[in-house]
Amino acid sequence: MESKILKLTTGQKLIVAEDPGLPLVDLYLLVRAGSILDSPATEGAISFMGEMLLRGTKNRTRAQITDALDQLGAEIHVEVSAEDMMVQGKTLSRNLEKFLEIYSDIILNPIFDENEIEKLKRETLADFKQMREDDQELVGRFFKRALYGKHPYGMLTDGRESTIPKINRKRLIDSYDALFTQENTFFAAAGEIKAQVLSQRLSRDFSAMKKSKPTIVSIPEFEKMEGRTLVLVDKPKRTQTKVIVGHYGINHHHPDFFPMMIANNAFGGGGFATRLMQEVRVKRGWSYGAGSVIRPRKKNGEFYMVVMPAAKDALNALSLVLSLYETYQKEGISEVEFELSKKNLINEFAFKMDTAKKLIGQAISIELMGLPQDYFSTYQQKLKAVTLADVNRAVQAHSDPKNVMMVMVGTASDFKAKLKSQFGPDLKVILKKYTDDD
Amino acid sequence: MRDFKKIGAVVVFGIAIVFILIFVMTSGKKQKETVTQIERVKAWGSVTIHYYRLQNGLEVLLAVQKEIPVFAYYTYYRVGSRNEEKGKTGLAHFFEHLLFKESKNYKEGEFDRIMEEMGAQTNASTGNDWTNYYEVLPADLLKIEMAIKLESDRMQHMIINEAQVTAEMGVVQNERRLRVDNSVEGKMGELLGDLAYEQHSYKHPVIGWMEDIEKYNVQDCLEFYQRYYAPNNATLILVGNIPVTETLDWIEQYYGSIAPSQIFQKEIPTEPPQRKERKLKIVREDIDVEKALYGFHVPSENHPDIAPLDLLAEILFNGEGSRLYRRMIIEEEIVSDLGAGIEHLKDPGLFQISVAMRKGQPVQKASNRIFAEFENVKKNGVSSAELERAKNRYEMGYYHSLETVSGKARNLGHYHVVRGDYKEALTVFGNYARVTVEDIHRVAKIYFEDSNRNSVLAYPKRKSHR
Repeated sequence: MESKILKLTTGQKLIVAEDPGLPLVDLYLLVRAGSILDSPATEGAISFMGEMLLRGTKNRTRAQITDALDQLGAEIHVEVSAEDMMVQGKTLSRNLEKFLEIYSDIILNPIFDENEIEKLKRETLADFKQMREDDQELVGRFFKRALYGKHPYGMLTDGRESTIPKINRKRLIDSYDALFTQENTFFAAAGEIKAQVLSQRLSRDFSAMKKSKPTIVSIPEFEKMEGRTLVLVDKPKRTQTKVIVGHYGINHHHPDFFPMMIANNAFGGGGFATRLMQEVRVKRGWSYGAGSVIRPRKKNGEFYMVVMPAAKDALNALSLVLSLYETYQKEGISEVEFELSKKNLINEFAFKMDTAKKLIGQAISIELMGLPQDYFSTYQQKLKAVTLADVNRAVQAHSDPKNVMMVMVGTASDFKAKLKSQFGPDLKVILKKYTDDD
Repeated sequence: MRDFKKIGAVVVFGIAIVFILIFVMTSGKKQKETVTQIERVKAWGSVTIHYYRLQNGLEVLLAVQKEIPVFAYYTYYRVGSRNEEKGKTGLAHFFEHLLFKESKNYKEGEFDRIMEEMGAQTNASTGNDWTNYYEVLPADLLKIEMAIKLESDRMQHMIINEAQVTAEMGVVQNERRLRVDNSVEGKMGELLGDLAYEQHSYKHPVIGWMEDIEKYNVQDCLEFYQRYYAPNNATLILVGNIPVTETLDWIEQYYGSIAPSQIFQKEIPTEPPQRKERKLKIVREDIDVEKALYGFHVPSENHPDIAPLDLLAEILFNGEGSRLYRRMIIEEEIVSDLGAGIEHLKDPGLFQISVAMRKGQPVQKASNRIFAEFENVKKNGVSSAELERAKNRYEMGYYHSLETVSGKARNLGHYHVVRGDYKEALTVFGNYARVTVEDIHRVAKIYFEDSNRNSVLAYPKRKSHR
């Protein structure tokens, strides 16, 4: 299996990996910008616009779209993240022709019907009620908000209870017009397909797509973070807490990116052998899971650690995580950890190319994140070149245990009174209710 | 799961292609003195399955797919929560944790270290009817041999002592807090099982009751290990780019000398027919909307009614095009979430329907519509277009589940352990393709009686609950 890149007559790229193994086709339209372009007052509008593509076109009502897809055994979903959008289609390969008629229709001809807009607003608000039952989801949302503040990365992709009602049809049409152009989009496909045949068909279907100058996204600088802040999200009757601790991270283009990947893989990003897992779960049994993540974005992104201790162990677990992080920053990782982590990352590269979908996923990442074309072909080589000294210098430079944002979802009365005595008087505590919108 | 992923009554919905041809190419061929080749079968795309049995009873399925750079290695043990006794619930799942710890040949943490160094993705999962352990690795000879060596070691040489049992109990208690105590859906699922079953061991949750987890001891664990972790209670399933001869040689080398066990087959009581509707109401402070989980008793996975029941779930509840989704979520806007499915189990399971209302909407409204719709189907049946839609959705789901080497291994494992023949994973879609509108009509009349219904209803605190 391999992926290749074709150019449509529209000028758009088509990334393809042919795989006749199963009678399925996955098709993607990628948009080179996402919810980061939302305005704070109508946060969630771009994600809302994406969902509205499936709610009626010039040729089909919402029910007709659903029925037509169901009859083919096909699906279309729109996924929106901060920096990109994806219209993801999946069909049985024998139905590809008919599927493409619907796929191009929803992308090219959405009508943004007023009734459907109001209906989707009510549906989205009802979904938020469901979301607040999920502590994992809650801790992630509050962390993103607390870490990035008013920076565009702090906006919630699906919006908030207070912003969804303010979305209107004009806002949706404006964002659609700005993003769904030939210059802002490209295609990818994997499965039982012939690349040339698909290329001709997409060239024909999307010749009607609007042309424009590419949308330029400028991402502002982050505000400096100082000290330790704990956002305590109060939710009743929790026997377990969810905790995230982190700060800004680094991006793919930074020369320390590969050393930091190795370091983080040893600290908490890898499997059971990681330091966080060994200390928090294996030695103490305090949490079912413990790990750390480097999430690169176009601009830095974030580094964070996660634990989920029982309420009775929550403060001790948080203290332990902070202390492990301090040691990591000061001393880096050991030779043994370094060797294990490096081998793990080099060997697991095979999982980036074991399906046709993952192969095109690599090429999509290169396009969307602006990575060098040889990023994946030199991936293992770059890891091999990293030394322990590189890793520990990078860890010292990019880890910052004194200045962290911490979010804990739990029943506040269980530990509110003990926070200052356990973490010192300088700890800034912000109390939120789990139903808070902001 | 040992880590982060979902456990519980693991449900595998499977559909296979009608036009898959199964060529049984060999049978009963003696490979070596201790290994018998049962058959060789052509499966999906380029995949060929080689089926062997060792003299000690170990079954081996090698599903070769040359073009893939990785392989999956699944070990299915025929032990799940169904085999547990009262007061010792959750032991099968507890083993999922213990088997990653110290053995006679590998110190604590060494299994993980070696696997991670090789780039492996490892985990395990426990269901009602089985426990599986797995790793997915880049395909090369050294890694294949090492995986076989490590898996055969933990089948026979685990050290189970006080320190390990105590440490892991804490982890499992936290896992239970995560999946059940702090999850409305998890709690409702557990309550439904307890309500719907009187006698059968499907009554208790896979993760076990908290009071049982707190009491695990070394002796119980040792007995469980000796009884169920044996070659004659296991099937190895390897899928991916593996060389058959070398792989089989290593399997024989490392597993061949493990003695079979006297598998104690405890008699599991047959669940008596339910004669009267059962209902349970709970009140929670951490929800804002009313919710319901219903369960109707249905047959075991190998019963011919399972396919029409699965398709009825699609027609009425699943996806925007289903009858009740369209009515309650899209048109009336009284429900925010709706879904249904069957537990595919060795013994009779439940057809479950879950509903989350919108704020201020009483769950009774959804109940009225759901039960009225069953009556409607009993009277008027379903259309052929609805059935076609359901079949297409099923076919898509089936192929989707086969996209990775792990997905293929899980399908083979489930059908081999639960239905007794892995080849069912290749032909199961035939059961669905043959379903007629008359079949749907018939099963609706058999299973959806009020007296066969169990309801768990959850209300937010501060609301009056009836």
